[in-house]
Amino acid sequence: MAEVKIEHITKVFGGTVRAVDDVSFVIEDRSVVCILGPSGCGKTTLLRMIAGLEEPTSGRIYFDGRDITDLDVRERDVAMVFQFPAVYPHLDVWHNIAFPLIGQKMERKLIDKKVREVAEILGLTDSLYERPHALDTGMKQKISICRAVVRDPMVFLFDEPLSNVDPNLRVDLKSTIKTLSKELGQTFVYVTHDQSEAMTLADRIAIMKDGKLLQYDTPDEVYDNPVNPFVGWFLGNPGMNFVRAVVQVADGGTRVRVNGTEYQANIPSDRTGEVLLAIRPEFIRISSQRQGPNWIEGICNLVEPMGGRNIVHVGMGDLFIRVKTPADQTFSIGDTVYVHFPDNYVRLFDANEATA
Amino acid sequence: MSEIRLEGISKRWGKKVALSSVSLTIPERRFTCLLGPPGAGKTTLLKILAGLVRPDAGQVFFAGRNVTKEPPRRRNVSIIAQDFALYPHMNVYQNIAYPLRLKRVPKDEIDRRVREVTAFLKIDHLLQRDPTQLSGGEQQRVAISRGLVKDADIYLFDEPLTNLDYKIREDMRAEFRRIQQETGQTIVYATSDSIEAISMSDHVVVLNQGHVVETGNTVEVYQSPAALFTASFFGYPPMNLFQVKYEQGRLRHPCFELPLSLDNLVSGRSYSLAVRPEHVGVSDEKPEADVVFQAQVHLVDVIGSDAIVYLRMGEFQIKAFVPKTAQLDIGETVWVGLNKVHLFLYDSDSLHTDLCEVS
Repeated sequence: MAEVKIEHITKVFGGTVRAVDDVSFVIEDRSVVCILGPSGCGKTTLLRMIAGLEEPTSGRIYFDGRDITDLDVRERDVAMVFQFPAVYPHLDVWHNIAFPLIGQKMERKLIDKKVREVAEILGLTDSLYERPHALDTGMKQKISICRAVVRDPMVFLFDEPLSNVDPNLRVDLKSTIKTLSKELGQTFVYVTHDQSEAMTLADRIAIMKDGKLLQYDTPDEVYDNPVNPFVGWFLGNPGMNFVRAVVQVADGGTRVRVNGTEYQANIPSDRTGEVLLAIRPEFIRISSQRQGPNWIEGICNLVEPMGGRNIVHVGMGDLFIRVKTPADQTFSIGDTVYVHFPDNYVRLFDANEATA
Repeated sequence: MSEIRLEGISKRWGKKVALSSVSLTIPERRFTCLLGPPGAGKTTLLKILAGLVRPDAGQVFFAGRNVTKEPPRRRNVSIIAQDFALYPHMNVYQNIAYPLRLKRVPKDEIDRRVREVTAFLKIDHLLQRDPTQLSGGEQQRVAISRGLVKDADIYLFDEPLTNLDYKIREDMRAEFRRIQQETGQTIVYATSDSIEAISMSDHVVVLNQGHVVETGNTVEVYQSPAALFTASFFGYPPMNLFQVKYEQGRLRHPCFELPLSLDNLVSGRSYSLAVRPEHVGVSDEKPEADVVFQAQVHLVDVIGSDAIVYLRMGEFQIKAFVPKTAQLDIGETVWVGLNKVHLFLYDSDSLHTDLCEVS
């Protein structure tokens, strides 16, 4: 149980590579925070600095207001679950979980009580006396998590704990971690490259790219109101669309020009001039007929059926956008189609910002 | 031009049967996916098509011509492996040009084709780079370019996107489909990923344990799988399956019952009832539906704009595909509604019985 405060943390490797670049944010006590980003964004390095496995080049880290930057990993009272489950093959599940408590010379009865409590939450009660080699990676990862839990640390750190777990078992483990975070009411810091894990598990998501923290907010907020095109593109399946547009203030609203169509709109943004107009694929309306003056012409370039949905690629000049439609709404390649961007879902960015 | 026909192809690796009497036709100028779990025999099948592996039995025909005994270089196929290796001592241009140089294609012809294919795959600005300076997605595009530059009759891909990041896969899926649709080439693409199969292919061959489970138009196979295995595998997530018993004109499951009068159902026998997660209705109020029961929300797994909701009814589970905006809390009790038009019934005794649509 602790609030974790990260203050201007920077990590430079080999004198030149800024793996983590001036990152500051506060992880509230008893919350689950996911650090999300593409490979190489610095998320694991940041987690390792919170754990004490890596020393920051500059900046401070506080647990409940106490500066722990210079403390050794053992003195920090954190428990870490790694990508590869760590189990002792020669010990049964009970001993694997009890290991840190036995080291503390805790009374046997108390150890047994604690082990059983946590094994119950993670559904390992029936396997307590089995050897781990007989268990799948999902179960082994549960043992690692149990061992972290019995230690009752100030902060739990997870480094992509699901990435080596069989996809079929992943859901079970994901729900276990979700339940655990609710039941324990502890501080969880969870590193992942998988947006779905972050959206499902986190109270807040910290999105990183090239060592920098881009946005730190609730899953809904980062999804609905990304701070820049990268965040909009990175989240979502597929991510946000971007088209070049010219926006001007006119008649108490906005005048928007996209791909040769000009229309009156009311976009919740004060950005004007040449902009990058962004909208998520699921919010775009599409039709084979122009339904109004604010429908923009395009050409159907491609249809990707996704089972319950279709993703229709609509070419607009030298750009294309993706539109998510129900499975029964489809178009043929080469068809002229019309799309509409409902004002509420439109976000505007600087025309020069990179989208990926 | 290059329709592929396989007749009774079998292959063993030691004691392990990789392919067991596989007969099928792969249409020309279409995108065909070989879909199946690891170990289904997909890679072996591709290698047999390429001529890299000789089958123990059976024959391979390209456009009616028996090529079973022909060596790879005479088949005019191009194969792009999962663990593609770029030559580290050559730059991107030289990597892509290499197969043409081996075939002694004239220099200006090589240049024209390399520039054409790299423009197509949007890597024409990387030609002078070394492979080590490229991202995973760019390396993949180089490997694909090297495969496509060969001007083959058939292009074979072995899970080329498996090791890439999610966002790159998203772009590459569309790229593959675009390439095939614009060039009209014959592509055979092995994958274990349902999303790749449904989003890219025109035609699908479902494989399991060396057997062909089912083949057909991809969307049709997705919409009404003829085999129980396909129902249990094809889809993200795949269909929900329930063991039911037919008794006194009803399909009985511990969680629900469905009155049904069908002549070909045998009383006292077990069947599997299947429904796609996107056809599972979830609501707070009791819905109007043919099958209605209550369940508890176990997990809401958010995937972009959608979510997979895992619901539990005691020891049983059902998955529903809903918009992310659906407000569902873990532990909450909700109503589940299923309609007959979306239900499929499979004979439990055999994997290959005909589908029987219950409506």
